[in-house]
Amino acid sequence: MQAILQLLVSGVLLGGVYALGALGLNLIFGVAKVVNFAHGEFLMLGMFAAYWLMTLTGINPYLGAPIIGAAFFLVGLAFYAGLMRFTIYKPELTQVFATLGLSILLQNAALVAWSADYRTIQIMPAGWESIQVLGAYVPTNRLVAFLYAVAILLAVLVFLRSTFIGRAIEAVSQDLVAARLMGIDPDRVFLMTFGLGIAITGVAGGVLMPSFYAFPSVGSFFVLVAFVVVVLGGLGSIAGTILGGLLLGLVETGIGYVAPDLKEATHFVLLILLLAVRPHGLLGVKGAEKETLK
Amino acid sequence: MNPARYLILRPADLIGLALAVAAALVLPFLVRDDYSANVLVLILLYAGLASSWNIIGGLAGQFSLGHSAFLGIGAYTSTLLYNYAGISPWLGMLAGGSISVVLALLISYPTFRMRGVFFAMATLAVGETLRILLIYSRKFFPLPYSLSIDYQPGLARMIFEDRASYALLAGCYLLTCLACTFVLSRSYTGFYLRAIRDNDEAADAAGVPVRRYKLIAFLVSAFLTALGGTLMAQYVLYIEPGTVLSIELSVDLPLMAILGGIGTILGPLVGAAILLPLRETLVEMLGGAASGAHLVLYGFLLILIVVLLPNGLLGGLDRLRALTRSKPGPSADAAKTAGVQP
Amino acid sequence: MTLSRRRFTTLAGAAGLSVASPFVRRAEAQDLAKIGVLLPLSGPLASLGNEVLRGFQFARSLVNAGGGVFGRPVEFAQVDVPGSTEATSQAQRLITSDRVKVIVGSYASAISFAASQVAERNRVVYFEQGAVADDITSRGFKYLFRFIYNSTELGRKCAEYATDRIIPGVGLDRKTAKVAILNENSNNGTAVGAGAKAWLDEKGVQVVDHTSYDFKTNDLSSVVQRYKSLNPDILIVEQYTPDAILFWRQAREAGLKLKAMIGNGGGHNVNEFAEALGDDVNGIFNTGTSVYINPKALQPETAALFKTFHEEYPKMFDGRKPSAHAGMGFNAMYTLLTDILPAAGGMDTEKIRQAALALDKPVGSSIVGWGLKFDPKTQNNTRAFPTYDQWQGRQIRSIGPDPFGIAEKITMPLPDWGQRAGVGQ
Repeated sequence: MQAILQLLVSGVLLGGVYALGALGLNLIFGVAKVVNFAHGEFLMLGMFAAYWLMTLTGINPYLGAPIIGAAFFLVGLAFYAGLMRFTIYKPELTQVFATLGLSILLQNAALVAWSADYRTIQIMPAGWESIQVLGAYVPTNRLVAFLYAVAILLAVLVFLRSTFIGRAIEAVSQDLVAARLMGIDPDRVFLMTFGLGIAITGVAGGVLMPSFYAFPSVGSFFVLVAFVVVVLGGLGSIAGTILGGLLLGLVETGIGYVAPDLKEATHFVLLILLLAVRPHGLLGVKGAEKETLK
Repeated sequence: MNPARYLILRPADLIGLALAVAAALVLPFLVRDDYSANVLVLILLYAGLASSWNIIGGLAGQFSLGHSAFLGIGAYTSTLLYNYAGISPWLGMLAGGSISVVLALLISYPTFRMRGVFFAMATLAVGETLRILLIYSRKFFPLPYSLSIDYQPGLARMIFEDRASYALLAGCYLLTCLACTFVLSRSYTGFYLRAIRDNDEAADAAGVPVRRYKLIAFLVSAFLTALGGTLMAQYVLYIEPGTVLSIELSVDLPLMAILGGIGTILGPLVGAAILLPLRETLVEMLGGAASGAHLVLYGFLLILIVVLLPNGLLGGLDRLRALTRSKPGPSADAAKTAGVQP
Repeated sequence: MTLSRRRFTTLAGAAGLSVASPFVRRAEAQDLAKIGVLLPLSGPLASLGNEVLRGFQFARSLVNAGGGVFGRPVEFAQVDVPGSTEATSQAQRLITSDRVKVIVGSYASAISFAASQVAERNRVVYFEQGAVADDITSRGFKYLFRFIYNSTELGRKCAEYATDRIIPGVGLDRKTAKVAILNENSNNGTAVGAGAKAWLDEKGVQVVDHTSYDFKTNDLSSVVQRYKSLNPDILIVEQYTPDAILFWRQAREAGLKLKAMIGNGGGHNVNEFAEALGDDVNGIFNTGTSVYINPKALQPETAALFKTFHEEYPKMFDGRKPSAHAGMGFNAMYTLLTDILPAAGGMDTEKIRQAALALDKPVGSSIVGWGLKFDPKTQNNTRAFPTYDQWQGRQIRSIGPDPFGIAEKITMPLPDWGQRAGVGQ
């Protein structure tokens, strides 16, 4: 019984980790319909940002997240203006391989710059790596990451509903042509989306860093899962991403207890099953899986 | 049977045929040193694999990222049959192809409902799941982690001493894949596939049996890819889940097709012929400078090529031709509106 | 966006050049002192691949300072093989383009397997410094030599230490002790795990669990929970660096209690592990190779080399302390350059083979403690053996086999989390 409670807690927190890693992707994917295969590398850069921030200035990433977010917002703007702008209306393959090329470039630039060593930072004081709650232990680093995931979710929801640019983003994600007819400039919207999406991803990387390690290939540990979570949750639904992440985290933890060898297979099996039964994902708009942006 | 009645033939096809035959059947005898022979074998083999991918990914427009599943099945089936039952890889190849076809049929049910990225993700998931399941199966079957084939040259064993023979074999494989692509593309099936590629809802509305033709393309593609898997196993004489069931492979095949010109017949060959030597060259140029430096340049070049030439090299050639041609006559216009492309 | 003719021509020119270049024969004089180096320098195995490279480079610098080999400075023809897919092509390139007669590699078993096959077919000598998969040397190859022991041997020795020293040391006996085995599911991990299990089964020790997982996982808390339910006394693991860090962190979060944990190289003898876990690494045992052994147990010449290694290595690499992987790399390259090649008198592969087979160096002749004698049939080094270490004071210190240990005191059972600062004192 205690084991089940613990598995639930662990599963939910893992879900938080996955959701956090996928939020930025969902925004970009959902609005601009862009497949960003370099997503993992932006996470990696966020992790390194957290490492260097902590090592050089002593500011830990939980407090320094806004700094990271602001920096990565600019990175996102540059990403769109410098590359993605040229691929938006092209076939999907162009996006896939352009971002794939970027992924290879960033990964190896990091390798050249920072070597392959695994960097870690310690934030929680000794003895505070986890806390006891009702007989289950709750790892503090992942708890903070989970809280950040929820905070970002709420912030994005508020942003999308209450600000003008937010509603413009929603409009473009729902129907590009109609949005254009309403006088919305899709280019500005995409610019903003990328800025936001990459900012969220950078913050995610930074906030996840204490639970993991920064090294050039770490993006590859997260990128596939992030895509699965986004598709699972439903394209265009931020809340769906959280839900998808939670589902994935719980299933993986459950299977991991019983048959650890199959743990990673759960991601894919779940994806295939869900897509077969409900292609638009948990909270996605029906028919979203047939969407393309041409 | 007069092919002209069933297939659209063009004068330029002769050039294409000559090129392909030269690459596949003549070059193997011309290349002298071992290193170049190795590159040639790999180019021909990957070109064949990319062509097989092109059938579903380029002609039918269904972007699969899980083709390593079929390759892996081909490689493992023939190798297991050879190592444990002494069955010649020539037969094992067909067995592998058949199993791949069955897998393709099974996964078509859930995946054909999806389009674009979703289809890509679903096929990616299939590839990865297969890899994990294979590793997991070792708990129940006494299967070694990696399989190696004893080096004993012999035609019946599909193992050769000299690379020229491998190159010839790979060349024949390439020609087979190109032939299939050609037939599918230039026949009525090609019209259907292109219609499905461009807009499958409209195609459906126009009465095209979408599911059936997607399936045909998918099954043919799966079969051919599995054959290539056997060839790869017989060449490297070593397979493990990380090499024949890897994502890198699933990504490489579409990449070559795209570079050369997705949907074109010779595109995959051009793509393979450029990508593989390009990688080698980069490693040579920069491999020693700092770990990973050559890949930074590789990534950069990839972006450049994909953005500047979204239709690949051959697509770019087409555009060039279109740009420099004088005003086209009415027949060319009609051909364009009928959606006929090379 | 239309494609201008000029742009297309440039791209076509670049494409043509790239197609032609490998076919352009590289005009190079045959270099007598050129050694092929084949390692994963980028990709997921880059961290330890680069460690091995540093060991190679240090050996080269020492040898060149002493005049080189055959009167010339040693040069490396280096290729980066991130995974086994590239192994065949890159090995081929070393042999045909760079025309090396000797290759030293490869850190990872899959890479070694594929690359050595190419070498064998081309009659190029291949020295494997650190890959442990059994089947690398069970193919009857004549040109492949391996310096290190194999993974089954590693697993067995680990389990042997567990049954002979640790079980009694923590106050248990073989019939009642509960052991669990955890390994990552690559070729290497699987073989080590299987080797350990075989030994334990032979000795009638209860193995309550034997699981594997993918080292790229993001979470091992479910596995930790599994152990909380199964309650093993002793845990034998084989993990790479990221999963080693993840697992031990999550074990700490869960407050997992174990009487002993034994690693098998990989992530458990690198500095990053200590950096990530602080004092909580203390007390963990490790079976594998170490450069932090007792120089008194070495042959006098080797002891001097040992001293030089530990003093000069950090100077060459920005203060970095060498790990076992650097040590093994150094050992293989140094032996090749100072013992094998001079005895062979040149780059004739047959003579190199004979020189290698003729080597007979007692235990204690290398900085990691091994001797050197290649078995005439399998060409494995019969005098390589795993050493045992314990993490004490955030350092990995060898504790055996005698006389290689340097730690005066071994602490067991494993103290509770947060109370391991005093291990070994």
